[in-house]
Amino acid sequence: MELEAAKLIAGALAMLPAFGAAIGLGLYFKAYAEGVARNPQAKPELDKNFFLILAFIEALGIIPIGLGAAMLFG
Amino acid sequence: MANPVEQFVIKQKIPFELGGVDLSFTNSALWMTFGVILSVVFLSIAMGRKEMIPGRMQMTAELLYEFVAKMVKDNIGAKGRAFFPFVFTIFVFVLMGNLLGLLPGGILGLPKVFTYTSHLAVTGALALMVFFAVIIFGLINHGLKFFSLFVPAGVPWWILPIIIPIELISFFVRPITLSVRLFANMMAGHLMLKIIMGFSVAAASAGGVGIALGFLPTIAGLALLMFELLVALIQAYVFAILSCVYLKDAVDLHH
Repeated sequence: MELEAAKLIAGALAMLPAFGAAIGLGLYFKAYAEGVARNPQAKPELDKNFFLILAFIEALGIIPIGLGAAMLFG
Repeated sequence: MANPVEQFVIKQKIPFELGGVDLSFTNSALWMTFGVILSVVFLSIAMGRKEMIPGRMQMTAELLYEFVAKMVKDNIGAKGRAFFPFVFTIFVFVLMGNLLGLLPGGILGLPKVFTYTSHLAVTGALALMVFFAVIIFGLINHGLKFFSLFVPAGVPWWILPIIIPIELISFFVRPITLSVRLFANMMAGHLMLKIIMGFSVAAASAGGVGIALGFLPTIAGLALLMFELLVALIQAYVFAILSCVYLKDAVDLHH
């Protein structure tokens, strides 16, 4: 296979993990919204590490996309 | 279109060599100096005139201080106050690196902006500092009992041969995950920003319809820039809070 073609395929494949991160973020926001809706008093507790977990999940999406972009354009 | 990876190239500003080791003052070191000077000057001016009713500057400095103080107190406990200066320094240094990297540069004679947190060498050094701080202060505080960190309490003896290696590995990969998380986030984010904005330049240079279409990537890039601002703040926060979580082991064992 030519190097250029392999690069394009690798770049495209590296974007796939974004699916998982998107599903994960969706589930996370769903759980947060449900938790607050069912028990509004738990909101401060749920807010405490909200952005921390958000960062963990979205890092899994943004890192592969960045690496894929690096393969395509780098 | 400029190469998007070009922004990560280290350039020597003042070449300097000592005993065969390259100790040049680089653009990375230049921006680290900017970050340190800016944070020191800002905090000294903001807290220079302490007033009962704080002004805008004092308010910002106090917010920053209380934010980190609360984080240290919640995660390490009352005994963690000794680590507050350390965590505060790490937080402000990483935050400055992330935020300064988002400044526009390279136009109108301004120096090219360099994000020092986008290099594994910098984040790795910070993470190793935290790692060794945990080991050294753990040994000072607990002596050899510190090694019971690898033996969780209340685990049946016959499961220990599996648990201890797992605990050991999870302890030693901490500096790796801590540094790679920050470095990869900053690198990937800046790379995407440059590539999306590069589409605009490429479209506009094509002329005709391209000039009209070139605005679309700019809008997407602006949204991405705001997202990067969020990432810059969150990643500094995550780095600091994980340092707190790790330093907790040095303060009290078995939580």
